[in-house]
Amino acid sequence: MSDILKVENVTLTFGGVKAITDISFNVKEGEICAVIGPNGAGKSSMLNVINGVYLPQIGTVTYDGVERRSINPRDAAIAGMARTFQNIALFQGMTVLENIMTGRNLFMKSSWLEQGLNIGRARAEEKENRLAVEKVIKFLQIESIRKTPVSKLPYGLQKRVELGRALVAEPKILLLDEPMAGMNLEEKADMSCFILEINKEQGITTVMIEHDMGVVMDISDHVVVLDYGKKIGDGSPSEVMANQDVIDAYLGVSH
Amino acid sequence: MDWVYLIEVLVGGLMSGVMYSLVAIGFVLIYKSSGIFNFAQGTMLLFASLTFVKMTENGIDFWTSLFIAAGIMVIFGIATERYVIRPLANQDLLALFMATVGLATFQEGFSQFVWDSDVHGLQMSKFLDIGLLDPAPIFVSDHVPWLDILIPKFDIFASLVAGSLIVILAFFFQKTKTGLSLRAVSDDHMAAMAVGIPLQTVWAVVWAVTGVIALVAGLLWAERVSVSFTLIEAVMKALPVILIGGLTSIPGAIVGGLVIGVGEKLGEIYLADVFGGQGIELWFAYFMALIFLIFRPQGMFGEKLIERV
Repeated sequence: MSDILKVENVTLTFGGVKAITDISFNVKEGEICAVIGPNGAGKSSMLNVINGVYLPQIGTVTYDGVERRSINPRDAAIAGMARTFQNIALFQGMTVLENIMTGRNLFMKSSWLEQGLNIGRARAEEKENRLAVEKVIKFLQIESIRKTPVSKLPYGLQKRVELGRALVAEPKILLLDEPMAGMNLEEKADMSCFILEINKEQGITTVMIEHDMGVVMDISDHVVVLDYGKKIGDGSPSEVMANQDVIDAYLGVSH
Repeated sequence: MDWVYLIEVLVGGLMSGVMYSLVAIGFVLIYKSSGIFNFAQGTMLLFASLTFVKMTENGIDFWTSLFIAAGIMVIFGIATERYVIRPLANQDLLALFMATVGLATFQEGFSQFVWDSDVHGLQMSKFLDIGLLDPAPIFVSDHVPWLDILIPKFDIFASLVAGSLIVILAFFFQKTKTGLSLRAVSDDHMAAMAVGIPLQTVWAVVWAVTGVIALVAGLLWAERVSVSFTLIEAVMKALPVILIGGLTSIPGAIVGGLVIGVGEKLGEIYLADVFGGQGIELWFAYFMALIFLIFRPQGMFGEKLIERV
């Protein structure tokens, strides 16, 4: 499999603070790549560089064969990157259905006049978009909360809706920022199943930040470990587990 | 009780209410998309109607003037997005608000610089020859005397225009992708961009639409209060409307406008004595908003802010 994503020598600083220092890693097409590391290691910043929320001072991100120093998040979405956020970024004023529908906005090509009057291309498009949304709703087993405003949902379900919004865009690559944060065991198991299924059935490459080591070791093909903005490990889950630097970073070193 | 009079008052109230709603929608659109209160709304009204009036005074006919003025407002809206809002994206909201204060100042000066600061009368009846200005009974019947209601034709015309514009806008922002995008943008800029919503385009559309609303509202108001700086004050009447309706809701702006319109007319007629004489119409709307705020600070349809602690 070829590399769909290549991060090369990326350095990101905020004023005097170095969030990421000279990090490079590759993500193969079709794999689940987990980015792990202690709090403040630069994981979220890394994801934000990939989809263009942050502009790195040095380095490039090659995605789908195109090397870029910067991309804006909308162009990233057009190029087939969909993502979720660490602090859920759903549209709080909308229902579950409407939130997921926004994920289809790149597929809405008819003019506003056609949409307003529900004629011409808009009709077929609306039907197609609704079908895609319903498919995702069914897959994520959230049929019963379809019309519920997302602000009324518990945290775990909101995370699921956010995954749905990303999924419905039919992305090439999914960037998930702590998809299981704040979930109980049962919810984590469900979420793991969804992520695996999306990856295996639909073949969507997934880059995921996660803290739960059990989950990471279970479902990922490839693990990248960051600590204080530097890469300290990169390899298969078992390789990473055996890496002394990683063990030190997680368990601490005796001095 | 004089029923005919009451109905006349009610209808009159509803009609001026529609005009308040139109101005309020301008505020709501900007607030929803950018999260700020647009201080420049009043000057937009002034600039739009002044542009129109000056063109008609120079002998350009009604429809051409209207068309050109609308075009100028659209260009103005797009330019505002490009040079005022976009550079401030993701900045503190107060910075954006201050930018609209600056915009208002600029527009006020710009209007005087390009046009002038005279008071202009605007008589649309001159252009639209349908006898708009004479009050005429709309229903006259010999047999059912209580239907003999007197309402100025211009009020009917104005509320029809404002009403249909509101319907079109509501439709546009409910049924189209732009509408969905607008609601997404108002909730979360970052997430909206991540799903591929063109933030800049949505802002530009909103500012352009607001400009056109300002033109229509400006002309309808100007017919009553003349084209001058008093127009800016007329816009302030929309404040209690959005306080009652909620800053984030288009239906709220509509209902809020009607409530204020009817409320202040009823207040003027039935409560004036209690409050010490005529003229309470001037402040009664604010009073209503104040009472309303005590019971429902987020407005009728506004979103209640709940913060996790």
